[in-house]
Amino acid sequence: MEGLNLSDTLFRLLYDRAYREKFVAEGEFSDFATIDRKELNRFGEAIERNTFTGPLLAGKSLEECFPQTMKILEEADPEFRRDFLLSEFFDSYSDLNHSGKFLSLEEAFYKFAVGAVTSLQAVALHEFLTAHLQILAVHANPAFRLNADLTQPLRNGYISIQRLGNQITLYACVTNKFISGPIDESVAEVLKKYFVRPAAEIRPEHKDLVEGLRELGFVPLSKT
Amino acid sequence: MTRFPEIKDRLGLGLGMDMPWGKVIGFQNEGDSGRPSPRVEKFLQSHSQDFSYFFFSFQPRNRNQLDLAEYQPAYESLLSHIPKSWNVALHQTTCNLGSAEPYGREQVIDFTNQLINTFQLRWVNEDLGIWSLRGKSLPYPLPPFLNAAGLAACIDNVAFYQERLHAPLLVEFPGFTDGSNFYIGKAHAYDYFRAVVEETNSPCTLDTGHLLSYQWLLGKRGEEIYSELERLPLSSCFEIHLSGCQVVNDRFIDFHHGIIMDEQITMLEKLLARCPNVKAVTFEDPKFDEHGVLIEKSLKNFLRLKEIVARWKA
Repeated sequence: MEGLNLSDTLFRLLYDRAYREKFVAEGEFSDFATIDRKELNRFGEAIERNTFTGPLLAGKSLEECFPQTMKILEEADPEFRRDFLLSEFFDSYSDLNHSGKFLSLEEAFYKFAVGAVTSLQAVALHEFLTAHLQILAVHANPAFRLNADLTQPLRNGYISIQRLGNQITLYACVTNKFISGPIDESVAEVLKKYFVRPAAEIRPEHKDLVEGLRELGFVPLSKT
Repeated sequence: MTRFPEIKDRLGLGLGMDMPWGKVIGFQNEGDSGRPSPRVEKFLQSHSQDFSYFFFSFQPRNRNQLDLAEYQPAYESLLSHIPKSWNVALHQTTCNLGSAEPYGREQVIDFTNQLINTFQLRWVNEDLGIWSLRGKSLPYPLPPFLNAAGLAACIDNVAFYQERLHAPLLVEFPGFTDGSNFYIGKAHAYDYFRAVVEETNSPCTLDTGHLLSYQWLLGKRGEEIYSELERLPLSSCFEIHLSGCQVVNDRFIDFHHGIIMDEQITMLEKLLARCPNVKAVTFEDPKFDEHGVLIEKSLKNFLRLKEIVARWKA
């Protein structure tokens, strides 16, 4: 407990399984000696379980958002859940909607996952963007921080266009609707040119595509 | 001077309801708007004669930033189902009064004051607990750190809110159960709570289940479970809470399942006899069926509760 204040110690007892096990086995941390160790374990285990399987407010659980990523992480290191709770990414996350802008749990987990297993990049990115844009579709004023590197604002939502291997994939939310799927180069170009940035007038050869996207709910920033 | 709610007469029996979103007893989303579930509406319509005031507990609706506009239609709808003459209060869950770490409180204060002003809330109540740590909600609020540093932090927190909220803050004695029956520090929780209340001149709420759970945790049984009440800030008590509790496998659990234990009724009688300024007794989180009818198992002690409070109010 040397050098740690009350909140830090409690945080470690609840979120750091190894620290808790050491405390339960031998801890005599002054005021912390009054802790019922069985109950402490129960509480700490509930936190770990809830972090992964508890449904997030108006969303899915972390395990539902990242099924493939979890599977690969599990194979690489069955203790990855414990490591996530101890990571800097988890530390940067908050679920409170009154505490300022922090990472969402989904983004914290995505960043942890790609840091833990490099080959996960494509799978984790796909699962993260699917979850992130689905949540943004129903949260116009999110309390969590938006990932500005991966998503860009639209007039009526957000978009992310990712090239993974030979495939370009669109993830978007427009007016409470989530849209995702493979797109070709021309669609990606049109989206960037007229919907993400305000361009000059729409060129004649792009008009049909722009209209098609407009029917899907996208609102162009360009003159039509 | 203690900042009591400006209420002269005894209010009698009140109703307190936790109102989570998307639950059968709670709010339901209706597009951008919201309203109480049909079950809640039926209960409020059929039981309004049993109660004389009301509080609802704040629960976040979604992951948006706090914004009154997202909550106002649902709260208006909820309050349209209770008599206009009732006093209304708020049970907050975001003040984090037991925290010993720095944390942002301005948004909570702004939002709470908006609620107070919009709905003419007479008081705000919150358990003296640790509700979140490093920005992460805990599965259940923990008791505060029962030592000198924890006490100083609680006093600071309560004083901070008390100064800024537009209605009196009632500090509630925290629960010691609900899967969290451990505590940190060696101070007696009754003394500790009294110190917080007295140092901040706050009115307080004594929850019968929370008091019993603490004594249970200390190993008290039988008559002893009602001992040491004089160590509590009895003259500062404005409100008493009763929610459904139960002992399971020798654990005292504050289930909020609507079934009040005999021991809670006894504790209520002892508190009413000792708290000269108490004005409100709240039945918290009743449980009822789809027709809004109280569950059978809760009836016996609900009727006793009504009787005792009616006698006390008369």
